Amino acid sequence: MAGQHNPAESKFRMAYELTPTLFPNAGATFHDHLLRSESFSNESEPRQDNSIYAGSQRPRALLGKFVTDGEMEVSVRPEEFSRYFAHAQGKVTTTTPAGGTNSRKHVMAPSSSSTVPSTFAFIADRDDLNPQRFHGGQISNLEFALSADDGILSATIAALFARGDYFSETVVTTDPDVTQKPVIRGLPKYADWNLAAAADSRVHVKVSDITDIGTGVIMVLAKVGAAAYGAIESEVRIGNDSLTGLPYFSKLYDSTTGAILGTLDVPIEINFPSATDLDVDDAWYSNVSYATWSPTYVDTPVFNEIYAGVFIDGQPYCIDEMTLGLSRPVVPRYCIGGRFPAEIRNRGQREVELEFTREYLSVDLRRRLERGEAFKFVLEAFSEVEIESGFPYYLKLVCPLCVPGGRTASVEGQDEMPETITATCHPNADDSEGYVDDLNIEEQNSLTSLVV
Amino acid sequence: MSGSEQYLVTLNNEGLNGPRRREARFAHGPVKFNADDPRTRSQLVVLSESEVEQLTANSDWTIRKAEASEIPEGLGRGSLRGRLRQRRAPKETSVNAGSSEN
Repeated sequence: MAGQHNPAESKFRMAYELTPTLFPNAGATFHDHLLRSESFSNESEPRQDNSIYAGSQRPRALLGKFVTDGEMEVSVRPEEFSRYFAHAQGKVTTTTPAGGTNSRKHVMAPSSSSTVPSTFAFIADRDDLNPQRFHGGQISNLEFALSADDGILSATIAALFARGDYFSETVVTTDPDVTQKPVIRGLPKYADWNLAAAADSRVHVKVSDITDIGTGVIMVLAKVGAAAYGAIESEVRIGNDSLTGLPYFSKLYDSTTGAILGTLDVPIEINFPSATDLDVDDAWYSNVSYATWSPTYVDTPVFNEIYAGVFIDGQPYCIDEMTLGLSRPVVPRYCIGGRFPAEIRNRGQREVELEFTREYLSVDLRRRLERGEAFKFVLEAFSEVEIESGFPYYLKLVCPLCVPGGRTASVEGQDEMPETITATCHPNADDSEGYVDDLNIEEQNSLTSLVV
Repeated sequence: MSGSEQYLVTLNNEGLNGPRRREARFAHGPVKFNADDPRTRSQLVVLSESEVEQLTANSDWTIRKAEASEIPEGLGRGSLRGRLRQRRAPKETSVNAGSSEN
């Protein structure tokens, strides 16, 4: 059966990872969301050997590292992207507003109290019966955009991932006291990658020896397809590396031939989260394709600018359109060996930038710009519906200290004199309302927690 | 699709991890749930086996097979019988043909 490849049937979901780069397995909570467009991919850049090759033609290109990244443009609804926003900010403080029952106020900012998981997983089902899993994601850029013309608050969320692949959750074949499932990752050999015959492509694993389980090592038998297991064992290290915080992933070898499963550049690897209840003959398999699912979406309207307002230093301010961007310094950490990076890491300072345009209405911003006078920027967007009586859904973006830059207004035609202000945003420990970080994202919604 | 049966699907009122207003896109059609509205907190829905597994694994939901007495004839959301009855309804009984499916 072939997929229809109809983009309008695509589905997307995310979940936090409890261990960075360890794809969430059974029992994980995934959160479905809509999007307008996306570009998530394993980008493959072949390498070219520059040796002089008689014939004046390039020799066959070699494999290069994968860059797994992309971005999505979304219409912002209350709740739907709160976890992405919380992840980008790193921390969140959640409180119940006075008099509320099901309402929660989430202040997402680096100085908030609860740490949000540092990585997330993302799945894209593009109606091709081959949903793509992305592991170890970190947001690299988050940009909000709103204009009086377009009207709908949009966000562009760009992310880097440690890898992308397709395996299903592991399925228990034999395990009388199921308390955990291993996680399998990697890419199948091209010859084994048969979507039409799932049973022939399955990766099977069976525990064969737990003599050394006390040292964190067990032996397993592995195979692809329905044939019987052989006798060649693969050594598997259990759990996480306490020094790096990353999971141990061990290569699997065919129990009959001894050949590596997958290929050396992207092997098929396995992680057992813990040693709990692992017994000889416990067995699992993983399908070559992640199973599709029926999504559940947030049922609240998108934020419409009709119910929004912009405030500069506490006063309503007329602007036509704005973008507010957070750039996070995340980079892949590559190691010698293999095509995927080991992880995405965060090194350096984040940056927040604001830009807005309007018709030239007063000299106020001109004076601020030329005198370098900082201002406080606030965008408030409300939903048409309430969580409960008296408690609306809202999203509030606050930059307490914006330093203007750019050019002052000038005449661009007989009927055009726009004023564009760009500003860099910085923390302000003296903010009278307690918004001390460069960008503070505040949301009121019905979600009880943004850290799970 | 195999194993399509009517279930009483409830979006729990307490202890939710996700939103209190949701639209589930089941294979048999979309169904809206509101944890705070007794009329739409629980719905009769035809579910596939994978949907049953999916909802069972999610602590936000409570599901059970619907008793025969709970299924109003032809009125269950996503009910095959209900859909057939709607399609067979004579056109002259439809007030507005453009929205009769709703």
